[in-house]
This record gives sequence, C-alpha cells and structure tokens, in this order.
Amino acid sequence: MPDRHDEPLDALRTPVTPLAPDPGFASALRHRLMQATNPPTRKEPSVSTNVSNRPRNGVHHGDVSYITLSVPDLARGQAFYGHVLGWRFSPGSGRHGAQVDDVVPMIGMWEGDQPDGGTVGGAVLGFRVDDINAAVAAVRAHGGVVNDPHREPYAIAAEGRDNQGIPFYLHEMPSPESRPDTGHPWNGEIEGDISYLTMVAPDLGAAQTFYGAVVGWTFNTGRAGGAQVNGVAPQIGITTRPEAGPATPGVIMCYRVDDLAAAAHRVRDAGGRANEITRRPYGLESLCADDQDIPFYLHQF
Amino acid sequence: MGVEAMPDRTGARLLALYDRALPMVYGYLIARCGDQTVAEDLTSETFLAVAGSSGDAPLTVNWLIGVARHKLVDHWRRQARQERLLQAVEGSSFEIDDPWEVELDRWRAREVLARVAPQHRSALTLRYLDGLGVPEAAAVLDRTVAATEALLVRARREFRHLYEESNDA
Repeated sequence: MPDRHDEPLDALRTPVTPLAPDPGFASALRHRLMQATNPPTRKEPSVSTNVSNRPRNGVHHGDVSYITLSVPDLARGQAFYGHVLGWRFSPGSGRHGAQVDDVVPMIGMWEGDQPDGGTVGGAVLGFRVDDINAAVAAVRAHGGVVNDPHREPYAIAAEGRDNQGIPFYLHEMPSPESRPDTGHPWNGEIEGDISYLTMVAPDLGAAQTFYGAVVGWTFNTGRAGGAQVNGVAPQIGITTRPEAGPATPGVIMCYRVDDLAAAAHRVRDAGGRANEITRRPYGLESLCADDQDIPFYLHQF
Repeated sequence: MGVEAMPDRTGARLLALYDRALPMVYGYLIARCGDQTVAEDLTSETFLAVAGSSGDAPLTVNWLIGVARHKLVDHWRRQARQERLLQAVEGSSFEIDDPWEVELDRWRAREVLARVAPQHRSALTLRYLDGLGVPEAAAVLDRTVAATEALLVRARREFRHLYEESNDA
C-alpha cells in the first residue's frame, strides 16, 4: 500500500501504556495461574491440616453434624460454589443431591423438598446429640415438631422444625476420635470450610430456650438482638436481624477463604454479588449472595 | 523456594514476571478494546494460555503482548461471526482506495474505530495502533499479505465512511 494512504490513520498509533487492572481481578488471576501451574496445592493436606482425618460430623453434643445447603438448582449451585470455594462433589443419595468433599462440617447440596415436604432456600443445620430420644422429647416439649428417630446409614436421625419454624436435623452417631481441644473457637481450617453460622431467629429468647433444651447450648449474650453459642464447632451466632438480606428465619453460611479479594472476584465472575470487603476484629469479611440469591459471608482470617 | 530452583517451569517464570507484565498486558488490551470485562477476560486468556504452554516460550513482556494481540484478534473474529457480518463485509465489492488527506481527530477516530466491523477493527488496530507492517499483521490475522492488503483497503474505506459521516452529524 502506498504510504500516502496511511498517513491520516497513523495518528491512531497507541504505544503500550501500563495500567493496573482491578486488584481483585489481579489477585484472582494470580490464584488461577498458581492453580494452573501447581494444581494439587489447594485441597492437599498442608503441614498443619490433615484434611482426610478431620472429624466432619462434629465431636460434642450440640456441634453441627451436617449441613444441607438447599438450592433451587443443584447444577447451578455446584458450578457456583465449585468456582468460588473450590468445592468438589461426590454423588449424593439421589439425583437431587450431591456431597461436598473434604469440607468441615460435612455439607450436602440439595435441590429437593425437605423431609416434611416444605422447601428452604439456604442452609439447614444438623446437630450431633448424645441421646436422640431425649432430644426428640425436648423438641416436642418446647414447641417444636419432629418426626420419630429412624436409623440411617450414617446415624440415627430425626428431622423437624423448631419453635419458630426453622428446620433442623438431629443425629446420634458414634463418637469420632476427639479433636484436640485448643480452647479456641473453631472457624474452619482450609478454604471452603464453614467459618461461622448465623442463625436468624425473630425471637431470640425463644431460640435460646429451645436450643438450650434440645442440644444443650449455652449462650454469651454480648449485644442486643444477638447471642453467641458457647463452645460449639463451628461457631454459631443467633441474631434477630441479619445485617443484610431477607430477615427470614433460617441459617446464613459463612465460608473461609484464603484470599478474600480474589474470592469476591470469583463470586462476581460466577454471577453472584459480593459487597465491599470490611475489616472486622476477627478478620476480613464480605457479605455475598450466590447466583440463586442465597446470601452468605466470606471470611479471611 | 526461589524461582531459580525450577528454571524449566513456565509457570514459575510466568508468576515471577506477573506483577510487571500484568499492567502492560492489561494496558495494551484496555486501550484497544475499551471494555473492562473484555480486557480482563482476554488478559486471563493470555496468561492462562502461556501457563499451559510448553516450557520453551520466550517469556518476556513483549512476547506476552504478542500473545494478547492474538487473543484480541480472536475475540474480534468471534464477534464478527456472532454478528454475522463477515459474509456481508467480505462480499462487498472492492473499491478504489482514494487518497485521503485529513488530520484525524484522535478522540473521534477511536470512537469510529469501535464501530467498524470487527475484522476491520482487527486489521486497523494491528496496522495503525500497534504499528505493525502488513506482513506482520498478516501473520497475526492468519491471512496472506495480499489478502491483508485487500482487507486493509476495505477497512480504511469503512473507517473513512464512518468518520466522515460522524463529521456531518
């Protein structure tokens, strides 16, 4: 081409000028590169955490034994949490369910109805109890409803709703080898673990009475409208009013991540929402919602 | 463990270069596509493609920008397919490339560039924004030199038409 034709367009010449991208993006891409070049790093046992040997169903009476994360669409849920938290899945008991590998406590994702035929969007907690018959009697004596205990492959189980309609499960199961009691609250050890559970209950006193009677919880009532459950794993708080999201009774999950900025980017990347990262006394926190509108928190300690 | 401990690992060398290369690759892409999401996607594609490549890649910032250039052209190629413009534009008759004497308003020119057909945007970007010669642009576009020259003629015609139209508006 004759150069004279090119001259006006030569004004478009654009030398490469460095521009730093969004820090969350930069951090997320670095994370992906590290995974791409060292694929086994994420869930392999680390120096301090032997993933395969961790008790996943609680240790003590009142600990969380199992969590069902109830989602409208199982495949979407698996894609979202796989992308954000690195969760891997094994087949569940039917086509409506899948088990999350490795995380503590044990989590199952479920897109079907609850045992009583109702539906839930979000988490349902299962609690370890020493004596399920006593626990069932306590449920019925304190305004809850529960079916009769029945034997399942994993536990003697019962499913019910508390005195405010919040669904729960009870599990009596053999004692695992005890986790060394560090005296510290348990907030997860690896990315994808539960870091905290927020129970939203409109009547705080009613919740304290019920769970005190059924699973033996005691409480630390530090601030108005909230109570911290003493000595359970993972740590649980009850609030009458969540910080954000719908104030419907139920449970909001909190997950531990290694790099919150990168994780928040992955949330948005997967079609969810992630609020600005805030610094709390215990670490960094972001309130998020998945792509099916289920709220959750991410924590980096 | 230092990077020196595994000199044959593309991934380790790429991570060592990451902080310096990322703003250059992203800066190259955002200045040409003008869209943060697209620039982020193509930046990711660039780095991940290199991470997955064999160990003999010459890992320099300029080389990464070369990979990004290919990703950008691929993106516009996909866009052209999606917009189903390819056939119509490729099929348009060859017209004489008249001399054009004008001093471009740079801002308006960039706006016009965003509106030309994606395959024309590719050719003009490589030839003028990046300053590549026609044979180098042809290599990126995976076309012959003659086909690239013909594409550039059509691209300049469309650009000029839209530019003059924007002047009249």
